[in-house]
Amino acid sequence: MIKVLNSFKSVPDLDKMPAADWAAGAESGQIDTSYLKSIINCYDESALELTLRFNDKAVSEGLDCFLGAVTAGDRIAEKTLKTLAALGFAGTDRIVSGEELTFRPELTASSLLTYARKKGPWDMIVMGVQSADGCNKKIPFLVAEGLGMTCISQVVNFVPEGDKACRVTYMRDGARCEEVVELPLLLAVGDVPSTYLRVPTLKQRLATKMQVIGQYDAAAGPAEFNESTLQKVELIDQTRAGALIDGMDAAEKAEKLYRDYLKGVMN
Amino acid sequence: MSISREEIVKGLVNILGEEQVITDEEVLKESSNDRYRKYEQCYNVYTQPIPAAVVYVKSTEQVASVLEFADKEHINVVPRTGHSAIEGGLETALENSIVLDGSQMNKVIDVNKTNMQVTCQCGVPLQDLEDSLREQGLTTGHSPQSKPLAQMGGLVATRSIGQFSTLYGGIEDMIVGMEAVFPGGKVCRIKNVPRRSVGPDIRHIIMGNEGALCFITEVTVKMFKYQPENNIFLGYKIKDMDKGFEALREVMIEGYKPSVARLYDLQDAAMNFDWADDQNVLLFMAEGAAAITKATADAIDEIVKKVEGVTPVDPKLIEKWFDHLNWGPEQIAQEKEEILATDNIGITTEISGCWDCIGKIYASTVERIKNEVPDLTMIGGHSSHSYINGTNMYFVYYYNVVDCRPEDEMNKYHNLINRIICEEAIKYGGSIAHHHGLGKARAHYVFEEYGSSFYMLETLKKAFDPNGIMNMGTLIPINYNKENPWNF
Repeated sequence: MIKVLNSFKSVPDLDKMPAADWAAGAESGQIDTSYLKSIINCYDESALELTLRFNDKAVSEGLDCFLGAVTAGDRIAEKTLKTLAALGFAGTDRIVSGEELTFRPELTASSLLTYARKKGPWDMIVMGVQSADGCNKKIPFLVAEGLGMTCISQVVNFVPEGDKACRVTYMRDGARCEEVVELPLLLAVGDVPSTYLRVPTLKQRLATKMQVIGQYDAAAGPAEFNESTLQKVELIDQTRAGALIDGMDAAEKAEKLYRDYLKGVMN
Repeated sequence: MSISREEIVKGLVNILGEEQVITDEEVLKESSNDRYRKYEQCYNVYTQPIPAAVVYVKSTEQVASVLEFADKEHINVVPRTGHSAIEGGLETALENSIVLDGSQMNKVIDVNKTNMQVTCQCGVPLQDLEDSLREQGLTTGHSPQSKPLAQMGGLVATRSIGQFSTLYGGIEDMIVGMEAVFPGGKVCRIKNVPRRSVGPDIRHIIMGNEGALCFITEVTVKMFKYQPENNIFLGYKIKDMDKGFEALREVMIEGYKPSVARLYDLQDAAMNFDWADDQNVLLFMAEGAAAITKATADAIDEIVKKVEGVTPVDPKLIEKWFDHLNWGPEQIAQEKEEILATDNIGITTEISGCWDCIGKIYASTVERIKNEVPDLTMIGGHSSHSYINGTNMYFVYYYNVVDCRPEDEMNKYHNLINRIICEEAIKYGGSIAHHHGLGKARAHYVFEEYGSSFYMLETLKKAFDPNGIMNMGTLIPINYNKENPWNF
């Protein structure tokens, strides 16, 4: 049996944020996203759908898979866990933390790592390469390092190669690469356009209604990584000077532009 | 016997010139249907007869000339403006139809601030009109979800309604006068007065005709002061759906006029509000003059809080949610991408009923759809337009299209669900369409909807369109299959 763990995050749907609220946030230094509806982080959504396709392929080849899903979000993420249960994720857990995890990749990775160890071992761990709000791109690498797993990022597809390996397609410097990698493996899924999580039917939901959403206490595990500490915040000066060029006609203005502004900086 | 496709195009070019007569294959295909067949649209599958031409008219005279030609030659004409219809009203059901497009008749003719009314040509986009009026401190009060797409002629033709209807009313409460062209080219104008008592209100022959009687060329609607600074939002979670209907009814019968009064069932609420906590959601907006707004909001709050099982929520949640309610081209493109990726499609169907039956229609419809429709992923709904005597119900449903060609999706799922909704609305005494119009989809239930008054509709059709050239199949079906009315 191939054991696959998916980690995902619910994030505020920033596309629904009015321009005026961004502007107000820029002035106050505090963007209020509390009233926005949550969605699955887009990279995680791709990762989840690719995992289900992996499972479909495995089943069609006579292989058994166990799919687990975990999130380190607030209670709203349980809606997604219920959806995933209906789609065939037999393990559905939420890591409960008293700490704010956004912008704290080391703390989040520690929680995931402890959870993965407790519920593992896993043949594959799959997650988005980054979240839409944190954007640190560190978590997959930290978890892989902690578990001693091979990590491939910017993954765009993966299919089973028997029960001991996986054919992984990923992007490197704009090129599409493919290779067969032995398990265990951590895959960080990148940009896979038009990959949306499939939708379970009401009957599928009803069939898994009793599946328990497990809660795992993040404080139960040790801190695995030292957190980066913010030392200083400095505004980047992006102001630019401007000048109006006077002249009798376009030729004279072009001459001044060349002589006074361009000549010195052109080769 | 109608003339050939080539002769139709030649005749139209003689009237309008080549530039206004479009025969491009892609344009013709896209003009053969509307969003009722959005699944087919996603896959570029076209099952309806492809029209002979799409013609863009620029004046009432041109509309009259085209309708004179079509009437003489017995050619089916499908009027349209914003192309945002969702009930099949724009399908070209007959071979070699002409799609008569008024979207280039887009001039605002007069903004009369003394009489508080604005006159526009049929192709004025509501969004443009509303944006321009709001800059002047005015509003039409009309704000349907299709505002970014819909144009004034189509809004009147379908008897549309907007999100602020509980205060401003539907388009029938806003319309003052209009101009329309009937088959044969007869131009009729109904003047602009505050009220009249001069026989039947003939505006209602034009309003809601869905292009099956005439082509609307000009409309005059009322304007109101736009005072968004006074808006007050209210939101509540409520445990029981029937209690939600009760709360809406109390607000209405006590005489308060919020602009928005909505009740979401828990499935629809879960899709819209993270904070719903598996409960139904009630929300209101009061607007207008400051004193009225405050009194309205205070009274509604008092009424609703007395209803059992109600928990108030932060009004900011409601205010922010409203910012993203409308559907424009971006949302449609996104929806298409998602449908193609998942084969999961979402559709809405709206009905209405009096207070004594709306709860029954809602409950029995949801139950039947759950039991009878395969591959269903969601069924829920909301009430969004309330009156002294009842409210509407807007059913929202999603299903996975499984083992089915795009051209078969309609009969396997969509028509089946529509049938259940219409049957239950009729059974309990409601109306099968609240504001989308009958189109061609629900026209198959027009006999049950109208009952004995179908005589009047049929007589209107025969009188104004004796040659049967106006949007045939809309309002009254062309081929009615009594044994199996929903397979078409």
